[in-house]
Amino acid sequence: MIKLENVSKSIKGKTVIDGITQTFHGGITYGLKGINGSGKTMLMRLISGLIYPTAGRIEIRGKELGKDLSFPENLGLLIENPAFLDTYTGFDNLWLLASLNNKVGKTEVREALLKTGLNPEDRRKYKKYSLGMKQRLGIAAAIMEKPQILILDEPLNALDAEGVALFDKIIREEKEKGTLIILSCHEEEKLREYSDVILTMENGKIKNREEL
Amino acid sequence: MAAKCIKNEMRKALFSKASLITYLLSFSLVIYHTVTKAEIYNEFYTAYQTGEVQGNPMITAVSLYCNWLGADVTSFATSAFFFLFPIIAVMPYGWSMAGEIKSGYTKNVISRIPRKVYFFSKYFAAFVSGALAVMIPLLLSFLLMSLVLPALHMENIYPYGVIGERSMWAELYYSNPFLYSMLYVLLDGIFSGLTACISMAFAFFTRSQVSVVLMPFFLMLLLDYIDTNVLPGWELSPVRFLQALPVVNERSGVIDLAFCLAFAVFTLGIILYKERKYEAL
Repeated sequence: MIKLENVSKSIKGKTVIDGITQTFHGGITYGLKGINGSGKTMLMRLISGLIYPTAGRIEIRGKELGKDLSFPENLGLLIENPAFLDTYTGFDNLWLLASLNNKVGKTEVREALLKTGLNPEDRRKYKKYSLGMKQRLGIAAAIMEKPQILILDEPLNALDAEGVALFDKIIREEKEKGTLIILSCHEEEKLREYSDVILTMENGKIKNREEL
Repeated sequence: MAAKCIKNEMRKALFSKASLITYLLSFSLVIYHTVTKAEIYNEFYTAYQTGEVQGNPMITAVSLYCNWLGADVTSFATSAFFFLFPIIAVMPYGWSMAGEIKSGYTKNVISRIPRKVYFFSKYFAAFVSGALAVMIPLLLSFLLMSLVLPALHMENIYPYGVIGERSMWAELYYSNPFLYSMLYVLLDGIFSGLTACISMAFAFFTRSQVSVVLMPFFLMLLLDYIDTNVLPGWELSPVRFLQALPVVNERSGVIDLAFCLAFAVFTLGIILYKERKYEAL
């Protein structure tokens, strides 16, 4: 469970998140909706521990982010554009990250790549990847450690029809596992398809909550 | 977790194209220096054997200890190496923090391990890669030159290769010049490692990788300007005080120590601050 209590964030004097209080429960998929600059990505960054709130507190399973926790444990993350090391292959990039905390082995890394339609044996460097392949690798990185919290910002960016179908399957599997998913997507139809709850954001605030 | 992160960072630092280019550049200088010195020594030795050298041959002028890359104050290669050392130190990995912040790669790491582990692993890798990038060419030069030149003990009765008695490690220079030379390789390595760390720390304040690579270079140029025009005689310029033989002034070693301490405090201070405050925007 993730609990936000009156969370605000200002960057260079501008308020980007304004007093959000919201609880996210495990096993539910939350879709974030809103125009560009409404605060969707910033909210995801705050929950991921990538940035710290200016005011308020974020609790993850009773532990305060930034105080008791430096980052949420069991988190899978894809925020904005995927970013990996240009001179490494897709597999090597994921393995380098997976080896940091030793939660999974090479088999799980291979499985994650296959789930997104990438070939683990592909020796091409990341810099040679197309935009769609980069996005798939970003999704694979997010799911490879079997996270309990999955945060996906515009996961359908640059994906072709096959990529979207594979992503649909991934989301179904994650929901079945009881993963807490928070995602944003510009395609409202898709957002509704994936989500159990839609949170509409405006000017850094959650303006509306809709249960589907 | 920390050991794994350090291992990953070291792998990224040592097996990169940037490292390869840096070593090719510095090895070229080493080879050029060795070949040039071998030719000069060959001419001298031939003239010495045939009796063309008149008067005192001042034989220690051709000693290994005042002619290897780290101590040869008269050669182009030494001047170029120490002029370029901030870039040589930074190029293998000092810039990587800037690259990873700019690309957004840091998000992948700080969502898996604490910032403290990531930043200190990167600091360690930047330090080691910077130190090795300067120490390995210097050691290679010492080895290659030792194949060419005689390792004659230095004497202070000749005008070549002399250091004043108040200079740092002066006694060692005359009694154990090998150890003296190796201590300078170590000093240069520590200083270069810290120079790479300056670049890493600077990465938190700019998104330009070019600025991050060039910043220590311009800092050294500034210090050289101050040394030459504002405070002459202080040996403030690393371009000079990293060379094993002082050109003009005696050198106490206090400046070397002060710079190393200042660089270490400055860079570690920034890392400690950023470990608590860094945000992946």
